[in-house]
Amino acid sequence: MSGYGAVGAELRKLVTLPSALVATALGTVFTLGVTAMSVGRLRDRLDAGAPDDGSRLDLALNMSAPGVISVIVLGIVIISSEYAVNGKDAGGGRQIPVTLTAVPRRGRLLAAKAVALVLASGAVAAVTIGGAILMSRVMLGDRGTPMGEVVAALGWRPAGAVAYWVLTALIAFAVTVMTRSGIVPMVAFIANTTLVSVTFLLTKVTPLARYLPDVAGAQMFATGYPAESMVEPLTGAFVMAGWAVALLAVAVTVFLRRDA
Amino acid sequence: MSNHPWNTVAAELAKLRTLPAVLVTIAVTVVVAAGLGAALAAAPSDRPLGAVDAALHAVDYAQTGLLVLGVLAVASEYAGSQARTTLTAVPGRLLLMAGKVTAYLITGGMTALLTVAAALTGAMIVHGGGLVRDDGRLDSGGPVGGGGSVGDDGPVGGGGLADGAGLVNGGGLADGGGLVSGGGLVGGEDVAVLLRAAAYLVLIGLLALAVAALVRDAVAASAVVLALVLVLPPVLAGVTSLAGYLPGAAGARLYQAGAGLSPFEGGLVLGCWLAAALAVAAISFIRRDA
Repeated sequence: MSGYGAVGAELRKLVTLPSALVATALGTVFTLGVTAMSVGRLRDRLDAGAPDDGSRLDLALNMSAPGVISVIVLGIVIISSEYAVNGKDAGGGRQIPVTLTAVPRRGRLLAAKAVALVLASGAVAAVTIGGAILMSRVMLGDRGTPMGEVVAALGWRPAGAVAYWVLTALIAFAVTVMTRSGIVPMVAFIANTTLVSVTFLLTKVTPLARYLPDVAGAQMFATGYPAESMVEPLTGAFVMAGWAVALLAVAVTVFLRRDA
Repeated sequence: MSNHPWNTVAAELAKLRTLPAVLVTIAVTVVVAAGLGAALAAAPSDRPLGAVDAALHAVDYAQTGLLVLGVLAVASEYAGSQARTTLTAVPGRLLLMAGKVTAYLITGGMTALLTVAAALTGAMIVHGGGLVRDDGRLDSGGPVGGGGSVGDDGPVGGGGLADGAGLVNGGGLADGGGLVSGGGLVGGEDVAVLLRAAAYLVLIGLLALAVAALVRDAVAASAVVLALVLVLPPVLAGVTSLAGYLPGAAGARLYQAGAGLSPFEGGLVLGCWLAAALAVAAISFIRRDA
């Protein structure tokens, strides 16, 4: 199977997985809904005469950290679904032998999955983050800064948020290739996006924690990150991309050498 | 096997005891809780936390382990066709459900106590070899005398201390010693709040059990309960005060003071969630094909 065919097949599998669809739909609706409520409250405050402190500019980006869960689920199920066992009534089989029969080159298979994941998570991220920014502009109407100024003020941050989502999905994917079961990465990655983030706690304990993937990557879009002496946004992008590449390299090695 | 209730509980306990995933979950939870307690007690750039406060804060993190435990207690039946074997042995579905809940409560109770104890031990080791001494606390400019740790939203021990007394327990307030009250390690008030934290851990895992019985898939159930307990409350708190009534946020009042509910009310709200979730889970378990 050609590379394009393999990517197309993986994309088709991904968009027909109920869990991927549910997670993406819920994540997008939830992110946009909470953003809408936040913007609504800000609009009420502005109407009541509150001073414009500029905090609204990145309101739409604030939800990027929890919203990333939907692409974490994508990154996990794109590979864990291959190992899920059907019921005995349905033959008790797994998808992975069929997939490897169709695409025997394992490196090519993982590459196809990674490309499909980048496309899908990039699309979800662009729609969600772009939608949140656009929605907040529409809701604020003429109260807010003109659209051109907002775009100028946000600069590269929306793109940074999209990159953060895509790289997070790739890291979740790489880890799930190693574990094969979805439960460990699901629990670890979702819990780590919340207030009880272990990586964030580590930033309080050791300065080395600023180089952890999600801590460094968050600098790509965050303003006012609640920890001191973090890396620069561009450094953060390289650090997080480095983690993704390294983990994917381990995942490929494991996947090449292990029985399916 | 006769379907005596106790036999059902014993069978479910044997399953939990022999499931590698359950054992790994318990071990990881306890070990990580100790590490988190130590990390929170050591965190230099944050507000310095006393040992009990650090242990309570570690419970926020460690609840993930109990959530997974609750999910595994039921969802492991649905990984293959175990559910049907189980129902052949124990056809009474309500009896089986009760047996599962009881077995979980025993396992989860022990895990929760171990987790809280491990978190406290980890925090105490950081605070000086297990014995909390005045100098160690004073040097850090810590909780003594209402310094850095007296936060309006910090983990506050005990319901009566909700007005910003930090972790200072009843006896220690006068001499500014916090944990050092009367030379003891941990005061009576601290023990009470630590036990309430353990109770919270057990109960939130029970919620995960009910969700897993409804969803019947370990990965999906984990995602649902993590979203419900960890993701939603802080996000929704920014837009509505109703977020405080979500099960995790309300239940956390058992061991953490905050705006809104008292510890008793918080426990009550969590209890209502549990009653509803377990009722729905039991009805669906009774009526649905296995």
